[in-house]
Amino acid sequence: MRDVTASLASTLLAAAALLLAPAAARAAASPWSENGPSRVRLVTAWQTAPAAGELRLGLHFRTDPGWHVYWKNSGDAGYAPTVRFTEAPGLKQPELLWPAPNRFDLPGGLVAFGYEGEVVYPLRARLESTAKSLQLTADVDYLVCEVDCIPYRSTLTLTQPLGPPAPDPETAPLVDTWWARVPRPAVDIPGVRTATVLESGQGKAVLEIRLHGVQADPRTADLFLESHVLVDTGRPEARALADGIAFRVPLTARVVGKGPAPGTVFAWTATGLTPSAGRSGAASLEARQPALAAASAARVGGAGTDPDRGSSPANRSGALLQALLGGLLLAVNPGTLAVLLAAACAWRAAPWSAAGTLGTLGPLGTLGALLAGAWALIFGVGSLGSWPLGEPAATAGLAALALLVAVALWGLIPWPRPEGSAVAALLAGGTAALLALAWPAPSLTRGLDLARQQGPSALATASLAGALGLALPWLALAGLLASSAALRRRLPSSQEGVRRLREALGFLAAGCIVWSLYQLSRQIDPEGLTFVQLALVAAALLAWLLRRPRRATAAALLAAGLAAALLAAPWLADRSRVASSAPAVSTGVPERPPTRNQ
Amino acid sequence: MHHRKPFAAALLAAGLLASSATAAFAAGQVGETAPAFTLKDAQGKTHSLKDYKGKVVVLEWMNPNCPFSDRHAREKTMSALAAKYGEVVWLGVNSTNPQHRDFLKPADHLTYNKKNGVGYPVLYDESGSIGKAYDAKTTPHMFIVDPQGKIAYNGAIDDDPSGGNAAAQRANYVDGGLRAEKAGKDPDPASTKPYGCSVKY
Repeated sequence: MRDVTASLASTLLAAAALLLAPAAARAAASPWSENGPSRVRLVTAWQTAPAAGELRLGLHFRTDPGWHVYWKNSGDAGYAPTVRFTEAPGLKQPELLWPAPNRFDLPGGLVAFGYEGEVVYPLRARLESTAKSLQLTADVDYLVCEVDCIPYRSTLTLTQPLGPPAPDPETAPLVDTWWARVPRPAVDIPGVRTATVLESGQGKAVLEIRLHGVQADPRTADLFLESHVLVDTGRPEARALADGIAFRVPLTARVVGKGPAPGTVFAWTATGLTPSAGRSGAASLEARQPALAAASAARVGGAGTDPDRGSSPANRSGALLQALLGGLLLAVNPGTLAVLLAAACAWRAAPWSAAGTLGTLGPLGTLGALLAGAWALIFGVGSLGSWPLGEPAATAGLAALALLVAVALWGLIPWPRPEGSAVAALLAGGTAALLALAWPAPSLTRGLDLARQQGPSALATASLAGALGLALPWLALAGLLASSAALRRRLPSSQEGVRRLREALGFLAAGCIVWSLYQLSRQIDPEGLTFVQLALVAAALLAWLLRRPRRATAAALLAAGLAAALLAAPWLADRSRVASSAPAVSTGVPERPPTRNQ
Repeated sequence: MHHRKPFAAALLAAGLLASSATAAFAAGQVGETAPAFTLKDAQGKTHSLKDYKGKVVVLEWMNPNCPFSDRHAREKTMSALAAKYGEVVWLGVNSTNPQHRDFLKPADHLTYNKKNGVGYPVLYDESGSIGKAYDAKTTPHMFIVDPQGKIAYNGAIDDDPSGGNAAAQRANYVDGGLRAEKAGKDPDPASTKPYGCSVKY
C-alpha cells in the first residue's frame, strides 16, 4: 500500500514539475506577452551563449493583419518602441537596431513607417561574464496601430545559459534573417557611391539623394529619412540613373526662415536595392552625410539631366576649404605642439642656425608633415570611411608613436641626429602630423564627407588640403623664426634649458598616450587594453635600459626589443576588436553587423 | 471716375488671391501667419481666430478615441495648463471625418469634456480643411498663436509620448512656450515633432 502511494506521489510530483516548468521553458525565447492585436517576446540566437563576446538578441513582434509597429522615425504619427534592460552583471546595455521599414499611407495624406505582421528588431549587446547563466529582463514600451492606436508596456524575462556556444535551431535563423535586413552603411560597400544634394530657392527646398553602383527598380525602391529637427519631409520620387537610382524629396522648413542649408547632415535609408553584380546581397543601404549645394541655385522642381550635378566648383571648393580649415584646427593639439616646439629648440640650438638654414629646414619639415598627413588621410581615412580612425590597430599605433616621442623628449632615447638636419626635420614633421590624427576633427570629417560624395578625385584633393592644413603651422613657425631674431632668442639657448623644455614637452606627449588609450578603451575589451598598456610599459622600460652606455650587441638587442614592444601594441589591439565576431550559425549573413545606427 | 470700377475689381481679385494664397501656402510653419478659421464648437457657438487677435491662442487637436489625446484629458494636462494661464485662449479642434468610427457627436463630446474637466470649447472641423491648413498630423498636436497672429509654436505637448515618466519629469513644451510668451519672448523650442494617433481626416 505504501509503495503504491509512494509511486503515485512521485508520479504526481513529476507531473506537477512538468506543468510548472513552461515559464522557464526554452532558453532561447521568453514567453509571448499577448497585448490585444499584438504580441511580443524576447528571443536570443543561442541555446547556450558564449560568456564573452557579442550577444545577438531580438525583440520579436507579431501583429494581427492591418496592425503595425514602428521604425525609428515613425512618420507623421506614432512612436518607435523603446527597450530598457535591467542591469545584469557583465552585460553592456543592448542597442536596438532597425530593419528596413515599409511605408503605410494613412487617410488625409499622412504616412507611417514600420512593420506589419511580423518583425524582429535586432538587439546587439556585449557580454563579459563568468557566470553560468544570464538573467535578461527587458521593459518594452511600444505602440501598435491600425486605424486606432494602442500603447502597450510589457516586461519580458529570459534566462540565457552561458557556456560552449550552441545556437538554437529555431530562433537562430529567425534572428539572423532579421539581422540581415538591417540596412548596411553605404560607405562600407565597395563600388557604391552616394550623394545628398540640397536644392533650395523660392522658399522651397528639395533634397536629391543619389546612389551610384546599385541596381534598383524605381517602382519598388523606396527612401526613408530620419526625423530632422529643421524640416518636415514629403513623399520621395524615384528615378533611374545610368548606374543607380536617385530620389527627390520635397522639404518644408518647420520654422520660417530657418530652413536647411548646404552642409546640414541628413540620415537616410534606401530600400529595395541590389548592389551591382559580384557584391554580397544587401537589399537596403543607409548613409548619414552633409548635403552638397546643388550646382546651379534654385533649380527646384525639375528632374535634372546632368548626371553628376553634385560635383560643382562650389562644392569642390567648399569641401577643400573645410578640409583645409579642419587640418589647421587639428594641428593645434598637444602632440603636434610638443614635437613642433622641441624641433624649434633643435633649430635654435643647432650650431649653424642662420636664417638661411631655417629657410631650408622649415619647408623640409613642412614637406615631411604634408607627406605623412596625406598618406594617413588618403589611405587611412579614404578606405576606412570613418573618423576618428576607427580601427583599434591605428589607435594603438598612435599611442605607441606618442610613447616613442615622449621617451625621446625625456632623453631616454636619442633625439634624431644630427639636430637641425633635413632628416630630423622630415621625421619631426611626419611625426607631428601622425600624432594629430589621434584627435577628433569634426571640420575635417565634414570636408572629407562632402568630398567623398563628389568622387575619388575630389576626395584625394580634399585629403591633400587637410594634410596641407596640418602642415601649415610648420611653415608659419619656420617663417617666424627665420624672420624674427627676437623670437629666436626667446627659445632656450643653453643645453640645460633645452633639456628642461624638452622634458616638459614630454608630458604633453604623455597626454596624447592617455587620450589614445581612452579611445582604445571604447574599441577593444578590457583584457586587450591591459595587454596593450603592458606592451607600452615594456617599451618604456626598454628605452630606459637603453639609456646607460652598453656594448653594441646589448644596445642592438634592447633597441630591437623596444621596436617589438611598440609594434606589439597595435597587433594586440587588432586581436581584441569588439564588434566583429562572425556568427556561429552561417546563413549568408554579412559578417560585420552595421556599426552606425543612431 | 468710371475707370475706377475695374481697377477696384482687380484690386479685390488680387486681395482675394493673396489671402487664398496665404491660406494655401501657410501650413502651420512657425513664423507664418496662423491660417484664419471660423468654426462652430460643440455647443453651437461660433469662434473665429480674428476674434482673439491681441491674445495668445492655443490650438489643441484632439480626438477622445485616441489613447494619447484621451490620456491627457484624463490626466488633465491640457485643462490644468488652460487654467494656469487664464488669460490665454485655449481651443480644442476636432478634425475627425464624420464617416470615421472615431467621430463623436457634439452632445457626446460635451459629456466627455464634462467627465474629464475639459472646460474650453472644442471646435468641429468636419471637413478637415482647417486641420489641413495647419498641417495638423496627430492628436494631440499643439499650436501657440502669438498676439500678432503668428504661429509661435508647432509640435508636441511634451517629450514623453508613452507617458512612462511622472508628470513632473516631463518637459512640457506648451507650458514653456506660454511662459515665454508671457515674458514677451519666443517659445524655445519653437518646433518639435508631434506625437499621437494620426488625425482621422
